[in-house]
Amino acid sequence: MSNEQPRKPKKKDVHIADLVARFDNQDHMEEENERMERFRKLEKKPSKASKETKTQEEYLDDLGRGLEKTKKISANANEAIRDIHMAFKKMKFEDETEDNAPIIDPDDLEKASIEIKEKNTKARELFDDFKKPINFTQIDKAMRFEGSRNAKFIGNRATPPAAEPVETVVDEWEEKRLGMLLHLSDYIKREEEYISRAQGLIDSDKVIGTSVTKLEEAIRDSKNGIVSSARLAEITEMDASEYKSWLGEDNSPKDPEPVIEQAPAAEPAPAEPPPLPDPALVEPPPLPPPLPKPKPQKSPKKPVEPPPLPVFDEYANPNPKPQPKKVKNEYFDPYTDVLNPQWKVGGDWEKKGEAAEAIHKAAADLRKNGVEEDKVKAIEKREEEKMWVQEKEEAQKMLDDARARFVAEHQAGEKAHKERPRLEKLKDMLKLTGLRRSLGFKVKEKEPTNEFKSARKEYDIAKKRFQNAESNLIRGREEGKPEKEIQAQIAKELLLNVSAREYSELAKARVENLTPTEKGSVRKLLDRYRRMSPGTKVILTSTLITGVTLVGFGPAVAAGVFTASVGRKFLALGLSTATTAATKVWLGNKNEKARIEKLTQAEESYSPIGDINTYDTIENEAETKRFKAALLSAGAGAAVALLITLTVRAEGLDDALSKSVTDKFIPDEKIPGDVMPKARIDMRLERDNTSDTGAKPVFTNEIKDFKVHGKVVSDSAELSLRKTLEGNAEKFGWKPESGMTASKWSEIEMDKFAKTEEGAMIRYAQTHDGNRIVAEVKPEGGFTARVEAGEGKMYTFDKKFEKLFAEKKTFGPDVPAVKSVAWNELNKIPKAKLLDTKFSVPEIIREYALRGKATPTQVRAFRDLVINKKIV
Amino acid sequence: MKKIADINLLKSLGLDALPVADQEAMLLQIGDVIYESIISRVLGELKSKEKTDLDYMLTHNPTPEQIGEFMSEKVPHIDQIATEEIEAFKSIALKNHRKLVTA
Repeated sequence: MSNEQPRKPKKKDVHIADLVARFDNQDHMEEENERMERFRKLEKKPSKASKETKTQEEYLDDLGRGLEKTKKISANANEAIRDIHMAFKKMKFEDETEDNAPIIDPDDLEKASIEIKEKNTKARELFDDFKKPINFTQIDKAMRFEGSRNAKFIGNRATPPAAEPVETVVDEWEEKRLGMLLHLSDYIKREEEYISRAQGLIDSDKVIGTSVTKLEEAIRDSKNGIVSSARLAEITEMDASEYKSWLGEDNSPKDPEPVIEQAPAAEPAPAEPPPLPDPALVEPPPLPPPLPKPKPQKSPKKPVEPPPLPVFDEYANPNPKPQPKKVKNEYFDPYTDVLNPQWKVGGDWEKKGEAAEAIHKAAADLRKNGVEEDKVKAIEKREEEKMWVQEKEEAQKMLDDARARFVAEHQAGEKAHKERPRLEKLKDMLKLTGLRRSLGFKVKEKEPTNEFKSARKEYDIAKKRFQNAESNLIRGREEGKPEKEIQAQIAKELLLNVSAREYSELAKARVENLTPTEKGSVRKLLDRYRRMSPGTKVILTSTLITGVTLVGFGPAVAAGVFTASVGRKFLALGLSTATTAATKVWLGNKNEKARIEKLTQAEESYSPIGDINTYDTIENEAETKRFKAALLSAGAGAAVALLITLTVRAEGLDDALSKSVTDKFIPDEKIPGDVMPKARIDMRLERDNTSDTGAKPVFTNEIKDFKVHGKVVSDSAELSLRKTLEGNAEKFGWKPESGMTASKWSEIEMDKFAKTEEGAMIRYAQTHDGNRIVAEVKPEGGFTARVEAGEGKMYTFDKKFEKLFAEKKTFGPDVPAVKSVAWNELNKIPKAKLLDTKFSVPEIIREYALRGKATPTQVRAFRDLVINKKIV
Repeated sequence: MKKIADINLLKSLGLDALPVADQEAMLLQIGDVIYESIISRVLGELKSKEKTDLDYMLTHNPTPEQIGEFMSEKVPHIDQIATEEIEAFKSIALKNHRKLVTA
């Protein structure tokens, strides 16, 4: 559009412009080419002519300038690489929840992306140029004698690189750079040795005259070579002496072979050895032996700590200032920017490191010595677990330390922000940051301090280490379990040990300055919270962190519960957010007036229940009974309060809350009229708190009074049925002569009928209180089974509709016959579904209130209806 | 983008695959942490005299409603504080999960 005004460049644009300009700046390159050309000419000229036009010092000065120039270019390239790396990382678009959200807006990112891509090729050329053919023969020559050769090496331009991702190229470049430094260090060592020997000759008076002069020249050459090497080392932003000290006595850095291999003729410095003294004047002294051929470097046996390298930090300033040298970190391998391999042992369970290998070796020895395989495996597993437990302990310690430092730095940053000068505060006000943030704009945060960045980095590493140890420990322990469950276990441990602690420590740091009185208030309020029943706290917390969804419950139940009753309590404790959110979900996105009306109606319906304090009275069974009695007398008004109790008890809810919170609330009642004919096999389940699932199957072929039992998880129900079949196998058609054990037979039968029907009636019914499976032998062989629902309900299967129906059952002498559903018909049920509950919501609520508990159907119906907004 | 308040942490972190009992135990621990943090922040909002009043009230066994009234009056933006704390917790949890589990 013609009338569009050109956009005023933002600060971010300037960053991008800088980045682009850096690549556009060809001055360095042109100067470098000119310098190269000059050196070439010098090389071609006879040395005499050369000496006529330039002194050695001038020559070396020239070299120095050339090296400085090259250093600038490489530094420029390095910075450019870092910027590109950072920009690409940002383009991955971090989550908005990130503490340090990307600085660049999405629009700008797109622009930056285009520009960076356009310039990417140039960037590659630039640094590929530098990383490119590191020919050690050339280095030797260049280092040993003249700057022209050195310059030649440096000026040796690369062929255009293949299109590779920037990150890959950077990594390769880093690797080659390390290889080059290694070689430089080796070279310096040899040159020092050479100087020492040459000086020894001079001092020994065995040489005289021009021989001394030539040796001195050779020494000077070597010294110059050392200086050049040091300069080259500087180019790579590393200090050669540091590098040497890092190498230690017998260590060498990682794997530079690829670089060496690129120069098969790596014979060092064959040219121009120092000239011998004139044999006519003096008996020639023994010359220094030829310099040793540089050997390809072997991979270090033990990981060594390389010197710090620039770390690509996505939060780093695009135009970074010189950073202080990083402190060595025993846990961090900056070369790979990953965890130190020493404790990354077995990071991948399949790729075990040294410790794991030692365990396997020991296990192999045991096998050789004839120890049984089972025992060996058990030992192996035990030792591996010990290893990871130890690693976890160490990781935990490191994590705690790192967290403490991180929190301290975080607090220091916050304090500095609060105490910033008035002028800065005024500026912030003028920027209207608060307003912009509230309108949804991103506001660039102030750059964190280097100390904070360092602490954060260290903390990240510690977290990673802990995750590594924890993951391996869990994977070892939970071997064979589905991946999803394992992942969930890992996530849980990390949530509690990493995230929750981090959050907690940050929160604690905030209140450190509270006075004793204030701390006392915090403690008292916390005590009140902690006195709540576990069930109530679970409801509260799950509502808070799940976006108003209870564990295993629909959101509407949670919302209703919160709004009408519990929410009021939590409102009193300063948590009305949960209530507000719950109300919104429950009532839908209606306008404010409608919501208030609805809420008022709800509050009238669910009037308070007098002295009964929900969360105080469900702490124990006696209190529960008292509570229930009070509710019965309270009538329908107590319905929702009772619903809370019932939902906490998890009675009758599919795969919802299990026993942990609810054990103490399980009633022990009989259901009238529940006497079955003796011909039937009665299977029932009783709670056993010592078992894993909380359910212990009890098998009997006698009819007993039927109890209301707690919820039983599906697997236990299946197991129970299988055991029933196994125990009565002959009755149900198993033939001993079939060659199959009764156990195997029952397993096959289960596979045929039950396991294939996830959610089918048998499973469905078994997992609820009061229901049971009745299996009967058929005259023609095989068996049928049906579900008899306790608590006045029964399920029937309608073949026509292939649906499961629930009917209300009346008590009394004329109990209607239960309609049977054959086992094999269960296969036809795609999924059990209740079509008609014959209850309205108020009736269900009344049921709750009057009967003291709900049937599964009622709870489910209530939930379904509310979720589907059928509530009237 | 989905607001953090609407994120179901249990699902986002894959924790809904845990046994329910484990979920409950975990929620109890988390609840303690979040609630403590909320209280701490709310206390920080009170003036000196209000803090004294609150302390006095707490020593005389107030009802939840009394505490609620007091808080609502003295810290009208208590909802905002609770929301921020919950979001902060979720944010840390999601960030760590992304870095450590799904990375």
